[in-house]
Amino acid sequence: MSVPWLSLILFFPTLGALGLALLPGEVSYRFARVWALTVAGLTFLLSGLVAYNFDYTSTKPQFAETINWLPQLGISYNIAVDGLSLPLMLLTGLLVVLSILTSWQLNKRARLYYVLILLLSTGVLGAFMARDTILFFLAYEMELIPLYFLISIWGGKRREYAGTKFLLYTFLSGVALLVAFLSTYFFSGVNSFSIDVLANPASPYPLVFQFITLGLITFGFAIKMPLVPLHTWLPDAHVEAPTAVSVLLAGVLLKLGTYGIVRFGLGIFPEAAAQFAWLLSVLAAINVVYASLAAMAQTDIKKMIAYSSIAHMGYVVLGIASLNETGLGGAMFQMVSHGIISGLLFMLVGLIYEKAGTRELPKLGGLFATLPVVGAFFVGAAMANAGLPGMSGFVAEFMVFRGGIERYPVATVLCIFGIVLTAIYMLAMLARAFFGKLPANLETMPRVRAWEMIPATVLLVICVGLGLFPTLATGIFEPNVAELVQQLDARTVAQLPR
Amino acid sequence: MNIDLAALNAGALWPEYIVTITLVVVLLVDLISGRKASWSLPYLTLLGLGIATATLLPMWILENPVSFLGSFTADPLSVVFRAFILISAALTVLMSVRYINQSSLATAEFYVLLLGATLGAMLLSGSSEMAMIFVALELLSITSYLLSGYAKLDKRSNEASLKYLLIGAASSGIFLYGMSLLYGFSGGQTQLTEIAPRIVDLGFPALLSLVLVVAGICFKLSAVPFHQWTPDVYEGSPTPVVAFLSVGSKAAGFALAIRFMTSAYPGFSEQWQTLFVLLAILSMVLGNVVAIAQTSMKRMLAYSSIAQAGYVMIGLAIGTQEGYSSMILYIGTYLFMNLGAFMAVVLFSLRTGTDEITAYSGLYQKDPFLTLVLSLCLLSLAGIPPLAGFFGKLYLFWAAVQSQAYTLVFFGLVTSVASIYYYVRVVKLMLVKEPSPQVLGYSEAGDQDGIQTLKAGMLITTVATVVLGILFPPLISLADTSLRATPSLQQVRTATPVSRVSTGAEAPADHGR
Repeated sequence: MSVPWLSLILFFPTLGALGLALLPGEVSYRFARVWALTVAGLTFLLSGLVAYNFDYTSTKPQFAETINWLPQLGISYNIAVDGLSLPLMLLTGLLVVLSILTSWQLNKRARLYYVLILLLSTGVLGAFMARDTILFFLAYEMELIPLYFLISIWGGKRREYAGTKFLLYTFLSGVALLVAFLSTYFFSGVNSFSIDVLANPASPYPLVFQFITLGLITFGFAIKMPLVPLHTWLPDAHVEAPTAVSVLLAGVLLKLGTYGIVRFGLGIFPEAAAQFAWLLSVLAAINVVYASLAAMAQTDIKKMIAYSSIAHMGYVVLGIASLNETGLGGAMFQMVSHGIISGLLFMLVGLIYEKAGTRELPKLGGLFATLPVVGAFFVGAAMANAGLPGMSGFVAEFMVFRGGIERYPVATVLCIFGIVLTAIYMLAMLARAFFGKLPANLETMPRVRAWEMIPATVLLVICVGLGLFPTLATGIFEPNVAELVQQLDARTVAQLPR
Repeated sequence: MNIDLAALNAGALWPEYIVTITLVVVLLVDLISGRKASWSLPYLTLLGLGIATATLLPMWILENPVSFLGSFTADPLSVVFRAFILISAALTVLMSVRYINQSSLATAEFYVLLLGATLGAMLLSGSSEMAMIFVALELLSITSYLLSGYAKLDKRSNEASLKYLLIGAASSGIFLYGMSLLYGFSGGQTQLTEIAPRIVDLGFPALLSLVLVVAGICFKLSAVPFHQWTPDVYEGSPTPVVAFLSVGSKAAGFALAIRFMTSAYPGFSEQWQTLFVLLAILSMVLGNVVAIAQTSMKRMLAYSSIAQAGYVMIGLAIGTQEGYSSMILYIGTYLFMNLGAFMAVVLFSLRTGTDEITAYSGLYQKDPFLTLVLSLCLLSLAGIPPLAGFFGKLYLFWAAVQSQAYTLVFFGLVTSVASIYYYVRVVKLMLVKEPSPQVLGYSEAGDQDGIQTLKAGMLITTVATVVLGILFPPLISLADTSLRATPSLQQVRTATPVSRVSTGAEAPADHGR
């Protein structure tokens, strides 16, 4: 083992946060934001370096680092990246940088704010890199506390309610996961929490045990994704959270849920997953239709985007449920694409709120006159969200539908219907907010300065780039997805006549 | 009686001698130089405690641990607990300097009494003979009563002391009664190991003595239902004293419990384990539930310490090698996180004069350091990863699951989720809310000498709370070694239903570079 690249990426933000927290004396928000941006930027650069040296033909975990942490208990510090975690790691690095840029003007208790953002990024990166269930759990819990404070200190009017709701829901999710991980550990009989060991038991786990544990895991991650009916914490959290936190929440944190299902659900309990995948497809369809209809009924743009974000996570779930290469690949693609598109939408909503002072559709109108650039971007983002060809959302959703249609025709058709709904509410929202007559009180609203559009531009470019050159993303995870499907087939065909 | 001096093996008690010498030196310095030298007393005490710790460490594994003809057993188990007690006494001194100066009470008495309590607790951790146990216990108890009444001008401190004395005297009586039964049943034996074979076949009478002895010990552990004195005493006594009582005195109690149960009652292990299962569940449930309703920080920490003792008792209740080892580890982590929390409370009440929980609102804006220390210690007490408390609990529950004690694990998990509520509530108040009037009037201007030592103590405990979790593996092997080398625990069964085929993860091949 040469340089511990992943540990560097993982702990550089923590060190940066510690440094920022322990600097003596008063720290101006100008200094704090530059510090945070530098740390996040270097972290992203390091992840880029890892991506550059990544072997895209291999399915093995790469850059692995293993330290026997608590050998008595079988817990190891074991981190690595493979094709499934690399894209999400890059996405995290990028969105942390952009979210710091988005909150460039923040000066309320800025030092604590940036410390928490950096700690949050360590937690998320750690969860994506972990190859040990307890290590994953630690990282998963570590991300909870900073986010709780980010919402309940810098949020809107009902911030404490939203923060506490988020904390309780996510904590419940964590407990379910811990119970599932511990029971797998005790059941497997090998003294190890390592994913690679647990995924290849000497004899397959009995189906009943798999159902219970997979049920717990799905429940835990369904809260995080979130799947209807466990979603109610998310709209509250989004509406109250500051823009940058919404970007991170929608862009990265929700992915922990879907990533977790792929990694732990499919990875460790393939037999049960194969039998219960239809249930996931049902949940996905309900999720898409319900959340899209709910989005339609919103008058607060941010809440609408929040519901839209929930709906689009449903496509990921459908892709996972399809259990074939196209569908799972689509799910992976949709995770990245959703991170970019919903991040972009939340940034634009944040800009509207900042300039117009409201997000209520009845109080808005004719914004094209005062915010032409935001309007243009919003049209682009709406198209991407509705899956217009040429944007990343199209590729992802097409793959998901292609993978799902044979196995679950009804669920897939319902999900496709969700696209229509998306187009309807996005266009209706555009029409009400950007066209029509500008209310008199908004005529003097401040204009957007050019640099404020930088983060949104980056995301839009990536969105179009991935839409035009989808192999940029598929190339990363394709081998791993193929291997996962092979394992699923091998393990389930042997067990189940089909 | 003619006693060979070498047979006394008096060298095993060097740390205790040094504590005694320090006690005398502190008294003499105070007598000779009076007020002029009172500033030096805490540092003298610290020096004494430091030397005592230094002499303790080489005694890790003694060839002949039995000293004073079997009255005292300086086995590794006692060494671990004596080290815990010395550390907690030293940390208590760090947090007392400013507190004592500010209270304008006699300085020397405090340190003398604290050293006396330390001495009693250390002797208690190693005593293996009933007369010795009782003497050590009384030394610890009487100095504790005096310490809790140390703020003699404060009514509440007086009340606390009197309550503690009355309930303590009663429980000493019960304990003594249990031991007198043992003395009779065993035909006049006072050595715990000698008693064991003579009472094995006794049945009910032996169980009667067992119940009385456990009741006496549980008073020291403040286990439910012997906890009634705890909240009142904790609220009224000077805070540094409370800190010592909740850690040092409890550690000694646990050492006594382990030794007494395994040496004198190995034949009744099922019965006393059942007793401790009940006590553990009651303590975890009542401690955590009642803590939720508290408005005073010290009372909340009092109930929290009852609940924490319940978690430690899980290890005792399952009675396996892993159980004892996880107990030791949990006490070790609890020592730092609990003392850290108390240090923060001392500093806050020195500056604001209150310990109401609501007064902590918005503290972050005025004092980030204090907020950080208190938050980390409370979160660790709540068992939030990746702090030391989480790993302590994980190991306890892991050991319990290994011996199929699922009821204990269930209650442990449920109550620790409930406990998160009241610990996190304080953290939330400090970070999220707008400052309270007390915090708005908060100033560091009144700070004088002694604050630096307090801050040093806070730094030590916080670093330990954060780092101990990561450093757990060496600590586990340390605890295991100390148990394996302890003769009285040799016969303890090691429950390993889970086969340990592979140790740790097989490293995936490094394809990176």
